[in-house]
Amino acid sequence: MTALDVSGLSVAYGRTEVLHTVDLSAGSGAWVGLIGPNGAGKSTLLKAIAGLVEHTGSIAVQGRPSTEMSRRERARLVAYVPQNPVAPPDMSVLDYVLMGRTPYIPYLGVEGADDMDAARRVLHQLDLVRLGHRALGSLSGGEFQRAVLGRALAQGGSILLLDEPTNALDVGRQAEVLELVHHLRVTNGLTVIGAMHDLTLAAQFADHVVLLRDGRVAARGPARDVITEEQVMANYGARVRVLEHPEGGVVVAPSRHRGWS
Amino acid sequence: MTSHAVEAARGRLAPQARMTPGWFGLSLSVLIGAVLTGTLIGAIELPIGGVIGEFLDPLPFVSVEGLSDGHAAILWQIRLPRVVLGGLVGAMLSVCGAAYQGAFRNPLADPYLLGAAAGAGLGATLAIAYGPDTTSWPVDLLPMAAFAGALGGVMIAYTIGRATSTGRSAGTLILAGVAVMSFLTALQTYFQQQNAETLREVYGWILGRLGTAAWDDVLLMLPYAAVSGAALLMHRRLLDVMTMGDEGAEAVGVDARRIRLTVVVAASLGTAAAVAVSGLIGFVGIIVPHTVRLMAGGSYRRVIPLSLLLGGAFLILADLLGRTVVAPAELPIGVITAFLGAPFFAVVLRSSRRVS
Repeated sequence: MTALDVSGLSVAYGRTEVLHTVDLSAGSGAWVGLIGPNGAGKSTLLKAIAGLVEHTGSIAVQGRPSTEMSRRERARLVAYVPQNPVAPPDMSVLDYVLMGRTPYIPYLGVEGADDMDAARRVLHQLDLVRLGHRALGSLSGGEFQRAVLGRALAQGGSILLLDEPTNALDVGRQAEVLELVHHLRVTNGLTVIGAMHDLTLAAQFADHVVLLRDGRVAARGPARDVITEEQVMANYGARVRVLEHPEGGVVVAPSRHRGWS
Repeated sequence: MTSHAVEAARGRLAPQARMTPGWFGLSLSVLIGAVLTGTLIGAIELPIGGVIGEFLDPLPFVSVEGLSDGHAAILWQIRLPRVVLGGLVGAMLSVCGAAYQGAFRNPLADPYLLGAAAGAGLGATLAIAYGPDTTSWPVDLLPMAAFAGALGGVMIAYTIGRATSTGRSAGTLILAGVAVMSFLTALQTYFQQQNAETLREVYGWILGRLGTAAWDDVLLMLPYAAVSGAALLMHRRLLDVMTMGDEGAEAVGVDARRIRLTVVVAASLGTAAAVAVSGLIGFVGIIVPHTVRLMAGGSYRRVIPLSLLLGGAFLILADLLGRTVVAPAELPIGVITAFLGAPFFAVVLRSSRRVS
């Protein structure tokens, strides 16, 4: 069954149209990598799927049109991790993860025992139990990103939208976070739609990539077919070498061209 | 030392968001202490045993000796209305400051600095100068006019602040608020001078009636304070959700704009009710919520209820200071709160700049 089906999606900010009739579908348990140069519309596409921006066209989650869902219902199915999550530095990790239970908590109510159990399960799964009472502001970049994933997992949805999840992380923490997402995809059956800047990581983790440019789909397919030297030159204006990775996938290496032009 | 103790010593542990009986009990004790102190001290000191006796005597199965008739009259007709009214005003200004800070995600927001109090003043002046005679009406027009003015003031400040900043600067909203406050105060002065026949009434209103507080003033304020306080208490967890930003809050299924509007309306109602009986008092909404945050943590599930209790205590004690420090004269309570609040504001401004 298709977990997510986006058809003819267009988004405009004022008079500027930033997405033009984009189609996207993701099977249950798939990892779709959104790639493309800055301003291509990757973040806007994720926000539209999360219901955070006005759009035209249709979005169906688990076969249900999103227009038939309330905000709360959508939040139980789709979790969104923004590029720069806002979080109060003096909030504890446990309380932050509990924020993810908001779609299950009555509007003016407080969390119940079920919500506490769900949050504790998430802390356990993400190896965050030890950090449960730590303030968010005291965490390292990788730990904070795990807490953000914990908040998203606590929503209990089947679709995880990630906007540059490895932004501002060092190379070790990048691999750690993406391996964790992969692990969750396998164990929890999550469908992952992730905007990714790093083409090598996109090729290694996503089993399907969609290349956006100027709000349109420029190419789609398995990473090896889409991430080519020609596509990168045509869409990013960058000269790169795409090399075979000895462990599978491809490596995108920048190639210097001498002189400024 | 356990690892928990080590982390705590490093200041890296966060207090839990939920209210604890300890903090609630401590704050309630401070409020009760402030009420007792406020009723005991004055031009004529009342005996503590007699005052406690007066409070306990109406309870069933309790029979204790109270005060003499003269002292009882001072307690019930002069001191207690003033203390209760001061407590209500302080509770409202504090909790509304905390609510504005949460709704706008701005640590510097305060009913006074956002233009809410000045808007309430203008609304009330217009009602006194141009409104119909409401003495025979079942409801008093004044608090409603003050409410409309308070809401208008905040909305204008918010609109200007949002239009002129990218939304990340705490200072811009406050600059807009100060501009709105100055403009509304100027308008109020104009209408006040235009209507010489109501000048005295308006002046009396602006300077506040804490000094001449009667139970009527408490009754006038109580329903508005109750509605505002209850609405803000019910939104305490949602104010925590709002700390994740509008996008973060909407991603977990809440309507951030609706929550902001509801909280701002409730806070403006509370501000108007406070201003309608006490005049313009600044900085309470900055001092109390930030003190609560420093002591008990930043979760609104603690900040909102504790600001109610400790805000009440704070203003009772500030009023006590105002009426004793230059006795037999009285210092206006706004002078006391500004004296404490302005340096406090500078500290909050400094730390908010460091965070941003």
